[in-house]
Amino acid sequence: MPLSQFVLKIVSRCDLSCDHCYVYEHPDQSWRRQPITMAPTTVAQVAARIAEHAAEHQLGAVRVILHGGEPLLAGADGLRAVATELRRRIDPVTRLELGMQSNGLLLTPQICDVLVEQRVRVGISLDGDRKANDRHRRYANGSSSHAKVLAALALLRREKYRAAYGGILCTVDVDNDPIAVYEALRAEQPPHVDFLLPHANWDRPPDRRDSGTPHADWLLRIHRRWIADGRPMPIRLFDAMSGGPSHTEAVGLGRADLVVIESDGTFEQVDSLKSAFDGAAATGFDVFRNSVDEVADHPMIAIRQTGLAGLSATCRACAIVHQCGGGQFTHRYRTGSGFDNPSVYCADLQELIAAMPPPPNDRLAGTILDDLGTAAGEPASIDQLVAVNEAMVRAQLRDLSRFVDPVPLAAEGWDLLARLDEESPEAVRTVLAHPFVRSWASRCRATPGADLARFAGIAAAAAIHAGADARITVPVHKGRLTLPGIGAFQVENAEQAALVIVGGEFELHTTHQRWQPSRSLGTVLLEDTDPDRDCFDDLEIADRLDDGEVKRWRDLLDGALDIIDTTPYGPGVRGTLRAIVPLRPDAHRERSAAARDAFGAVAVAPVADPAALSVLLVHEVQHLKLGAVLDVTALFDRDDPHTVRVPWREDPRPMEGVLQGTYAFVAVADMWRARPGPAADRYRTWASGAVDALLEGGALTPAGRRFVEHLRAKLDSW
Amino acid sequence: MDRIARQEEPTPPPFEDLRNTPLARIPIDRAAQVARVNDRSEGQTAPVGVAAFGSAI
Repeated sequence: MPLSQFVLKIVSRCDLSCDHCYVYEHPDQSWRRQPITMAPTTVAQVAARIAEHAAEHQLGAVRVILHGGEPLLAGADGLRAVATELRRRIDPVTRLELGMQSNGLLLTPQICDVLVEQRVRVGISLDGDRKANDRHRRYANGSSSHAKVLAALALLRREKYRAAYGGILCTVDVDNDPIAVYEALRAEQPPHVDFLLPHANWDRPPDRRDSGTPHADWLLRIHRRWIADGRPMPIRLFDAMSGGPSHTEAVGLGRADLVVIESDGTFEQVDSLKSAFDGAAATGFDVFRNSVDEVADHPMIAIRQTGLAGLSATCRACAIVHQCGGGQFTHRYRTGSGFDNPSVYCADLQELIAAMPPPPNDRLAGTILDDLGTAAGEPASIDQLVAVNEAMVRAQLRDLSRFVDPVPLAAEGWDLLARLDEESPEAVRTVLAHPFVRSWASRCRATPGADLARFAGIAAAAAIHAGADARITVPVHKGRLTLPGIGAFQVENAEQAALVIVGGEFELHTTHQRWQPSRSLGTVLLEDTDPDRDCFDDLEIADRLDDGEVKRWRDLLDGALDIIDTTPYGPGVRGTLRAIVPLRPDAHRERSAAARDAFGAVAVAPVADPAALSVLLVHEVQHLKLGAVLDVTALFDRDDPHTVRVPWREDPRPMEGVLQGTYAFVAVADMWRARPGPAADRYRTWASGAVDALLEGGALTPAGRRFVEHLRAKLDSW
Repeated sequence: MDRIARQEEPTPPPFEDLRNTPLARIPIDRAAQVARVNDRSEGQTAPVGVAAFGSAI
């Protein structure tokens, strides 16, 4: 594999004495043997080798980073000479991207002129505000370098030098105030910011303090502020972890096609390896005797271009490996096992990636959100929420497939389901739309175990819908063998049973069984058999209903839907409602519920008439709709512990509960507008008070504020 | 001059890749990333009493 990135140590000494520097302060002390500056003959040979390599592999571009030590010690003339030689040799062959990483202390207008003239973009190292920067980045006599770094950045911000401003590199120190660091970096108006975790490995682990993940905690405080500020500048680490392209070797599975060339012309591996052990970066090759091709074949360089295969077994099996990439190579080192380990920052990386928001294409469009913010929603918007749920279920099932191998019934079920999804995707879609597939999957993801065997029941239901032939063993749970949406067998004295499906017809091979088909209420299922319907906290579900009770529910639902169809909530209820779960009668009050993990199901106790049911259904469907919105849209900051006082409770409530209550009460108040009176006034007052409390609360995201402002406008329009 | 009003492109729903990729071919890390969204939400909306209409509208 060819290499396309070359780090040139054009000066091997530095004018700072940073105590966290991997070159001078860590185990490898090879810098002592290097010439102070790269000789012109060495530069010429380096340029020739890179040009030769680029030509041979027909590379579209190569990137050369002038590095040190401190490259500015070469002076304006020295830098011009190096850049000119590189361009003279490489420009005719391929596109040369020239960069430089510097502490900035010696940056002058004369040097900036050279950088602009030679099209060199410089990254400046700055660890934050003065207090943060002074913690490590000091001169040998202990004095501060901060003022000179700021002067360099001011120079680079000038219009005539702006093209040479590459960005800021900040090394994390958890003793620094993260927000003060963030503000200091932002004030310099950098085109890019990158954060570098301090070099550590399993032999020299980072300080964990009281928290298990102090570095993730520190970076996440910045991340929250950065999001709240509207991402004022790109931060490479965060962008890469959010699923965007990785431009950093710190994360991601991109090829690390990089080699370092020391000031004497020796090839070395990435120089942060110097933090591992003395000689860790050595290859034994140099530009005078060896081609870049020979270096590229060095096993420690080649392994870094093999992506997933080059990682430890632990990393390869990890669910987030594509975002993490095993972390920085250097951080994996441990005496004995070398680099065949996860990163010493593994826990921090997991924490960081888990907290990253989904990539932008995983969000609802603003127009859809605006429409749903009216409390109702057009059919197209409702369809999007249904699609979100479908995708969430598929994601959960695929994620669970990692755990099926130790559970034979689950493995068999997963294999059949995956095959049917290719052959009869509509049949699988029908089954996955059943509300309790998601609630089962959510529960299993929390504690994967024997319950995974119910993959078999889901697959069997899909095979029946598909009209397929299959024989599959299905588990019995709480005395029932459940086929979601189709029905359940009551089975005695068995933990599992074989189901034979021929052309969609099915037969259970057990001695004691009783078939209880699911019954429909028109387009909606009456769900009184599936054991997973018992997912509405302390509400008591009704047992299997007799035919008379089913007819009464059918009449009630028909009447309720007729009423709802005359309101703006018709598309939402018609589009999302898949199952009614009867609750036990409650003589004292109306009872209904929805669960976030059971999209499409509404539990409700028997009611007096269709009008009563219509209000309860609208109320609960609002919860289902908002739940799907929250699956893909951050309407509030989940890490903000803010609570909000609402008119219907005495105690302050968390944001998600207030949003859910408000969204439901706006719709309920809307329904009650048909019946002016004290009840109608109460709901409107509640909804209005909650909307104001949310807007004043401060924990809404910009999208959340816009959503709630639409609710405010809706109330004001009455 | 084009006098025909151009129909607005429908906005694609989120997660199209997850719905259009066969289950077994969805990258595990992608599935895990999306599934984790579920872990961060409250499972149950706090029940609040709602008076339904006592008789027909």
